[in-house]
Parts: sequence; C-alpha cells; structure tokens
Amino acid sequence: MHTSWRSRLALAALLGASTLGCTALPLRGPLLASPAVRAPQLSDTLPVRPGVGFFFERYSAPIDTNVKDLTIGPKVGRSSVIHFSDPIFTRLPLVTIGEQRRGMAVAAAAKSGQIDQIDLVEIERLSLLGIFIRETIVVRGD
Amino acid sequence: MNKLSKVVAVVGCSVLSTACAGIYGAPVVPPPGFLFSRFSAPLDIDAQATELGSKVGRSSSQSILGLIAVGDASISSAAKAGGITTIRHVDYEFENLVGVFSRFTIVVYGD
Repeated sequence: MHTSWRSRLALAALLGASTLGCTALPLRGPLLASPAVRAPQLSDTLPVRPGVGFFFERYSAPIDTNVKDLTIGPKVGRSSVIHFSDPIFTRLPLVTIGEQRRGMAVAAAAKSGQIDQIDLVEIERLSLLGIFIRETIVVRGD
Repeated sequence: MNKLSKVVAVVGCSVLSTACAGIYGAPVVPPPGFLFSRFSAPLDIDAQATELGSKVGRSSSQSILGLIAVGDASISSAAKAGGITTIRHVDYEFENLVGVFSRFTIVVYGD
C-alpha cells in the first residue's frame, strides 16, 4: 500500500516538474499562473534560446545576431540582474536586484568593461529551479 | 485502473518533457520532429552579399529531458573555437532525440 502511494506521489511530482518546466517557456503549462503574473525575464524575449532546463540552466547565447563582417574587440564588460522568484504558486519575482546597482543595461556592461565601441552583445543565464536566476549581459568590443 | 493511471501519467510526463526539451528559440525555426530532429537554419538572416570565409567554428549547449541545460552557445566562443577574427555569417544546428537529449550548436563562418 505504501509503495503504491509513493509511486503515485512520485509520478505526480514528475508530472508537476514537467509542467513547471514548461512554464519557464513561452509555451506555458496549464496548471500554473498566467503570463500576466509570471516573472518577466530577459530570456523570454531573446532571439536565441538554446535550451530549457527546469532544474538547472547555465548557458550563453547571442542577443545580437546581425554579425556580418564583424570583428570582435578584445574587451569584455558584464552587468547582471538577479531574480528570486516564487517557483510554485505565482511565479512572481519576489526580489529583483541589479548587481552593484547597475542593472542589466548594455551601457552599464560597456561601462564596466571600459568599452567605447560595442561589437557584440550576448547573454549568460544561470537558473536554479527557477527560484534563483541570474541573467548577465556580456558586451564585447574595443 | 491503477495501471492505466500510471501509464497515462508516464506518457504525460514524456510528452511534457519532450515538449520542454525540444523547444528552443531562434529567428528561423523549421518544423521540428517529435521523435527525432536534426537540421540547420540561419541565425543571421541578413545574408545578402555574404562571403562565408574559409573558417568554421562551433559551440553548443545541451539540454537533457528539459530539466538540465548547460553549455556555451555564444557567437564569441564559436568564433574562438574556429580561430575566426572576422565573422561573416552565423547559422545554427539543432538535434533532438525524443526530448531526452537536445543540442543547440552555433556555427560561425569567417576568416
């Protein structure tokens, strides 16, 4: 009896995890909050999103895909925003803060890297269970 | 009934996981295959009068079951991997095996 109950619980948890994973996407799961109350993230609007990880995400991806005849400069600048979200009920961002009070603007990243001419803009994303999310703008240039 | 509910739950998990693992974002997305996908498509859609150059660089990011996604699918790392200093064009390659494993690869062409 215990085994049956546990197996049902495990299946329900797996189903819930899959659904939660889908809620991290534009294609959202049916069980959770509407897009209106979900924490907006930069990755939602990116032209390139290389994959989805409900448990763990750590990847880099381009934001600027217009790269014809582009030579990337040697300097790199970064600026980040950190979200702490309610992952289960509302997915509302409980806390959103910019590192070093800078936020995630391209200008802030360029300033941190002392870049005068921006060549390429990319993003680094780190997500732990959708609870802790750090999105970093990476600017390369001269 | 108990067996049926388990089967439904497992199939539901598989479908949802597949949907999650097989989804990615790009400017041009060909129709994906549910069981297997392997294709390439442009990332830079401004390809007019483009000379591809002699070098090719790749960098990729992997996703497992839509639960874990790791990798470096950035243009700068692909250019670095190919020894490219001037980028001419960027494509991507996508592979997906039943939603269990998917790989997104940036392909940079240049000199």
